[in-house]
Amino acid sequence: MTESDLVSLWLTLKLAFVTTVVLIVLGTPLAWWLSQRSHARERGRMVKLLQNIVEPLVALPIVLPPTVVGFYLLLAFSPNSLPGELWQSATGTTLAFSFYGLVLGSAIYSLPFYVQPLQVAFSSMQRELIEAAATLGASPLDRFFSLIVPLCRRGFFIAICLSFAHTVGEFGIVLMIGGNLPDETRVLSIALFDHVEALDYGRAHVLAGGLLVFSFVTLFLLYAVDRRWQNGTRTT
Amino acid sequence: MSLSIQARVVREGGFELNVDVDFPDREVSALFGASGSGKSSILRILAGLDHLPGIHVSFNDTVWQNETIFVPPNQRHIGYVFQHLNLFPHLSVSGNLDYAETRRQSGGGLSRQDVLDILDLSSLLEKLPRQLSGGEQQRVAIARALLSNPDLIVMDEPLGSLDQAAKDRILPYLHRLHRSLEVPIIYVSHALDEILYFADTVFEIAAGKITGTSSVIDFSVSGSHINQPEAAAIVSCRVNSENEQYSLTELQFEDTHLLVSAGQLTIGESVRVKIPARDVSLSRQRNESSIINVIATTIEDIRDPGTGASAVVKLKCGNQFLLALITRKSLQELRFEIGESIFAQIKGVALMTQHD
Repeated sequence: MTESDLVSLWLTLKLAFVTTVVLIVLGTPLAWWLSQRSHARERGRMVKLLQNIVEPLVALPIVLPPTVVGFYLLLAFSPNSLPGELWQSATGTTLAFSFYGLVLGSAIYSLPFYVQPLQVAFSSMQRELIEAAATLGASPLDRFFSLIVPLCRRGFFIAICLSFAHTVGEFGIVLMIGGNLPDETRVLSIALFDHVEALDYGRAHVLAGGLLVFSFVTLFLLYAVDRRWQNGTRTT
Repeated sequence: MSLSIQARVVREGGFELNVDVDFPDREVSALFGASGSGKSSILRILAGLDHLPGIHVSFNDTVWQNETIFVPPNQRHIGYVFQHLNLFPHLSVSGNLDYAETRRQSGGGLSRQDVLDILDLSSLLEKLPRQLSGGEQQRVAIARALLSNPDLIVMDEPLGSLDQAAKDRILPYLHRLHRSLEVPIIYVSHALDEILYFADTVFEIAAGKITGTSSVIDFSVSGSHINQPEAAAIVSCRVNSENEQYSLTELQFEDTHLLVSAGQLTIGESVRVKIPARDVSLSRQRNESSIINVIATTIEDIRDPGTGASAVVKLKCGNQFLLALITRKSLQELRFEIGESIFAQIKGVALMTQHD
């Protein structure tokens, strides 16, 4: 592996890590909010309507070509548009072709891979357990960390692994909004593309093979841990 | 202490709850009614688990809910025992109890050891909920509710998912609990035997409305439930004397007495006695019989349902009443009439509880 490939590897891991952290912070409340629809008897119609709109929005990146998402993000990041302008006046840099632009794009693109497993886990929580904790004096935040997180640990684990791995494998959005700047936006998938274009198949093999093994090992561990927790937490 | 609820709620599907209740102090108040009558809704409103408009709840001068105030459930200090799925599956019995104990918001109350002793849990501490039987799980759930040191305990059909054998094992625990606690208990059930065993005051509820309020003594001998096979009269007696030769205790019941095989009772204390209707038979003469409790009564009422094999006769003795479950065949052949004097032969007398 050459030095520039190592830089790309480091950049990829950094991007996946930061993106996953962003998703944990923002995606968790979103998944919780979406999961509260089925037994929200006393909720207003407006909330239900909003949930009905947000849920397919979150799922959009699964069906859309990444280039479509990338194209619109590129437009939004342009200093001529409102989000791009706000970012520029706040930080003095442009969002497009920057690392933080990539984080934002990856977070949006990996959102369904984080939110959906978690939403399923939250929805399958027994409401009585949460209510029991409430009557025992646990505040909503306390209930979340003492009860919901441990009982939904499978959901969290799957969500975190999938969003991390998916960000590592991202290509189309990065190409559209990140370009190919060493140390800034040239992640592994882009570097691989460069090597193939330059007909440098030796270096391409190292990256492609590495990503293949990484993805397999991630999924292998995911299923193994999932099987174990499933056996361990059977409730009847 | 005083606990009051006024609620007028129309639920989805047209179910209407319209109640205005003041619960008595330091007692077991039972909400008795069929499934879907609104019993559980009252508890959920009380605990703040359902936040619906049009409800006033107050407890000891503290408003829990009105038009502007809503105290969330975690600030109400209510020990809530659900019908099932009470325990946190990822925590051991001991972890479940810790969960409550570390979050208790006031001192005093029963100690952990007291609770373990009353509910006999010491041998289960290391087990996970899924390793426990249904009855054990409910005992742990009750213990956990107690350890939060609640100001009020509510139980929503806590024995509802248990079979009769498990129920019979857990009822004595509830009984001991009632005697060691100084906080009011609200107990919801549709099972007559639990109500008769446990309640002091009974609120009957039907279709979202309170249809009757009475002491368990009055409740036990009036209403349509006296035709149920598990019907029993609850009567109040005073302990007269011990008969050591036969290991019997003599109780004063109105102007007559009952002999029961009971252990240590204090002479002069008041006790509550349960006399199942199916253990009482009727006779016009005082026969020679192995039955030791035969008392003179008058027939107050005859409840012949018109179908089935049995009818219920309500008997008056002084100011209290008994029930006798007899066959409709005997009713016809012996031609019992209201107002007639009759001997009640009582085969089973169960001592219930001491009360003030």
